[in-house]
Amino acid sequence: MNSKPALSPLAATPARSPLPVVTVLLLLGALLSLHALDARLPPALWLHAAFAPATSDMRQLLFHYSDLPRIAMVWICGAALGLAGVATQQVVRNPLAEPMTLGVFPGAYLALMLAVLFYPAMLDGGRDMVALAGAGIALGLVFLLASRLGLSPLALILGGMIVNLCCGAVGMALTLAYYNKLSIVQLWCGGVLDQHDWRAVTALLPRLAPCAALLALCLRPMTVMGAGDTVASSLGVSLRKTRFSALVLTLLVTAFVTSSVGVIGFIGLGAPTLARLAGARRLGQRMLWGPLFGAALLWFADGIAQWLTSLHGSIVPTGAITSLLGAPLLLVLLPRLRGRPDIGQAAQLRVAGPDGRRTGTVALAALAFLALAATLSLGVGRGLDGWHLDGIDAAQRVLFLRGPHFVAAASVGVLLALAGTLVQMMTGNPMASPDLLGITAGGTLGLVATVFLVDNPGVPALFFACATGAALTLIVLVVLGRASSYAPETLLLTGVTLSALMQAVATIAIASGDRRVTLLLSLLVGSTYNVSATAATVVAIVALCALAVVPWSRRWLAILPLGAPIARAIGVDVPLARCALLVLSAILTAVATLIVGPLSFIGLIAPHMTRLAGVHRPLPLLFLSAALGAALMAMSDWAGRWVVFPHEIPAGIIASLAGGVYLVVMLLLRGTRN
Amino acid sequence: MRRRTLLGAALSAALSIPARTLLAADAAGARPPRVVSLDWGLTEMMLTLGVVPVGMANPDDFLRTFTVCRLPDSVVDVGLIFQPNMELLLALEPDLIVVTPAHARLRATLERIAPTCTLGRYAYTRTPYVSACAETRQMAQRFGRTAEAEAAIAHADAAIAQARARVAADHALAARPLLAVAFVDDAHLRIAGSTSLYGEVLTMLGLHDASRAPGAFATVSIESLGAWPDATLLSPQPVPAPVRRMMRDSPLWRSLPFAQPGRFVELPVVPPNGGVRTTAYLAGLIADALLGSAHPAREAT
Repeated sequence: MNSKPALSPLAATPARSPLPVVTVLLLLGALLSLHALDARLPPALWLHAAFAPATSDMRQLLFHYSDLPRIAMVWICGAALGLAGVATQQVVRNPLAEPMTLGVFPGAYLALMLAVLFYPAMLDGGRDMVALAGAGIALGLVFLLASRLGLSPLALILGGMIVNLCCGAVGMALTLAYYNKLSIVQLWCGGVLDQHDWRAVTALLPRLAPCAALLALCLRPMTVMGAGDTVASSLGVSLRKTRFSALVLTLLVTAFVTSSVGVIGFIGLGAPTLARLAGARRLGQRMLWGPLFGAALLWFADGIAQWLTSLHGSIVPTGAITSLLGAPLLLVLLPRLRGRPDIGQAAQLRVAGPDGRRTGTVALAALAFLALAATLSLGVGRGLDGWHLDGIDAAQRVLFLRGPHFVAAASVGVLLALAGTLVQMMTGNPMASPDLLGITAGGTLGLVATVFLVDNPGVPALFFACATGAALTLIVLVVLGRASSYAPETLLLTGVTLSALMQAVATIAIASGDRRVTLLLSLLVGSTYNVSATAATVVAIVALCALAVVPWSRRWLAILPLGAPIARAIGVDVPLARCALLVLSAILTAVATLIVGPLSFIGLIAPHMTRLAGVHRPLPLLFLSAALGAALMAMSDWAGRWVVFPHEIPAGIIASLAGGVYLVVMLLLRGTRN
Repeated sequence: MRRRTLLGAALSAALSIPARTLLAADAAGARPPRVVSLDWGLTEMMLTLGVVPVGMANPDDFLRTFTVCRLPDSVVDVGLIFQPNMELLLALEPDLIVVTPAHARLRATLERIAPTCTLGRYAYTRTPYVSACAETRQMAQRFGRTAEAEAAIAHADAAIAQARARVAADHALAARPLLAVAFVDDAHLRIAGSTSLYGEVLTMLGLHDASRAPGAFATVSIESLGAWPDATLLSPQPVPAPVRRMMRDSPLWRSLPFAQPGRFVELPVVPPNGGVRTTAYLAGLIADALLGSAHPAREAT
């Protein structure tokens, strides 16, 4: 089905050495480092301080116990992340794979957060085990999710994104509730490389060295894997075994680095990419140059972070700098990257079949579910004396609070379900979701900027900012997408990149400890919590308009999942169709993000459940997904309001958690059936 | 001076408080006002005036953090600070809801439940204590409890003056550079800046606040403490176990002056957004800790 090698070498370019590029990067890092060292200690004393620092001279001690180990740490971590990136990308044949996209960082981060809040004693012995456990569980979940689609490369990325969003949802909720207690996790999340002795370096090296050696042993089978699954199997390479052992090794490498210095994003992604673009084509070359590029990149980024820290007086996390530098770099490099994710095998969306008889039943069930959600949302609450079902009078008294909640939640559900269905059918991928396009991330970036630039921004200012951010993202998507006829993989790459950029900016903002952080957090979590009647009415009108507009796209939706060549043969203008659907789903997502925040799985789950019930034709699928999405969101909102009374959990977080549980349960059920 | 204070109080009363005397009348006559507080610092302020809220956000953690405050069990937990349960607020039938500027987004909804009053800017000003005094007076106007406010402020001023006198008795103390810090993990700490409550209290005590952080606090790594070779650290208790281990093992820390006796002083933890009563408590704590700690100058001789 798909024989194209995913990481095809840049065949057209003449052979060249990556040496000049890496030298320039190393020189930049060295210059920044030398500048910092020079400020610390006159060069004449360097040699002395390096080997035998005078205990009476504080500068020499700092040089010996802080500056030098920091440089060593930067080299080690950069090289380790670069190597892990090369290996991961090779075995999953995907230039997007790295610890962040595979859920390793978010898993470790969430585990650490839970430990800090609920079992602080666990951290007294160091954070290695906690981070490793979290990372392991997250990666396991990603694999479980991806195994549905035969562990195909794109499935791994999508599974990673789902785990990412789920961890992010829980993390955000915890941060909002326990902001004061989490400064340690926020710092660690930013990635900080300060050292105060050689202990961390000497502890990290012996753990990384065996992993690196074992990875080097996997070189041959991994090389064969690059030629594609079919070729590799026919040459006798055990795909699962090689993929599994290589991934476990990279997991260990990443977890060790992460537990030591925190989350350092984009080195694992940027180093291998740069190495490949600079001319390292064969896997052997990349395994050599990837770590070098990783070390050089991190050295440069850390130099900038140190310089900014000295200017600012308060720590600027290195991990945030790597993401800030890396994300735009990747966006620029995107068009030059030939090796695109290998998505041929992932496109398994069942195309329209004869399913008319069941549609009626499903429609009835969806409507009944929606009615139940409405009754619960408007009529059932909880007070100091327990649960109560309100009569008409009592319900009317609280209608000004519950009404906007229900209307907004249901409308957002409709918008996300429609956007999800459109994106899934457009990309022909059952695991795609509007969150993955980066539109929610763009809107959130707009919010972050406004919170910090405008003093006490009002609701209209925030609305405008979010819409602008989403619109700019959309323009980026359209511009970058046009070159590739809006190929799904390009859109995904952009989405992942923008999400990482948002994460970096939010991290810097939260780590800054500025007083506006509390406001920012409540925006990032987003919820139907504080929806005004006006806002609810506006969203409802948008949702109704959307329901009226989507039927026009039914021909495209029926044909696009068949693949671009077939669609073209039938006479569909593929780029035009994709662009139109993209714009439509982006608008729907942006409006939903304003209300419910960047996190929710409704766009993924609602169409999925509808298809599972046997509905496949575009129009019934769109409308029933919308009904189901509305009901799910309204239920999430209601549950979030009352389950841990008097505390409220944002609807988006309940929806994300419910969605995550749903996906896992589906997988387990599937497993037993097989 | 005194006239100006009075004029200021009258002006601020005239500007910020609309002609709604309902609460004052309630307080003076029929029943105590039913007030809900969505901020911990403002709850302290209210308690200082003798007003007990009917509901507040997260009272359990409040009591753990604001150790100078006491609350009766009857106070209802209305949920998180930034996400109170609106229906519960409605059921409590408050006469007034007190919020901070960070609650701006909730204000429209809150106004439909009860009159809402925004205070609590003091924690973000350059002089948190002085501003807290002004805001306490402002709140007192609203509740018709100006006498209580003046008494509380006079009490706090007296406590601070007393602590200042005790500190001044030890001449070497005034010259000692002090840094109020809190460890984040075993390699990083936060330094309270001059505009934080710690910075203001140190200045009021006539002590030398050595922090150069421009804002309320700065996060730094421990090696940057090398820039303060003469300083004494004030750190909240308890110091976490990994930090203790670092202090024992790290050659860098042991070579820093803070590893010497008397240069690392532990204090009970105090909320940085505390009000008048907390500030008076903090002033006493700092004086106690510094006078009780070993004296490096004497140690050396």
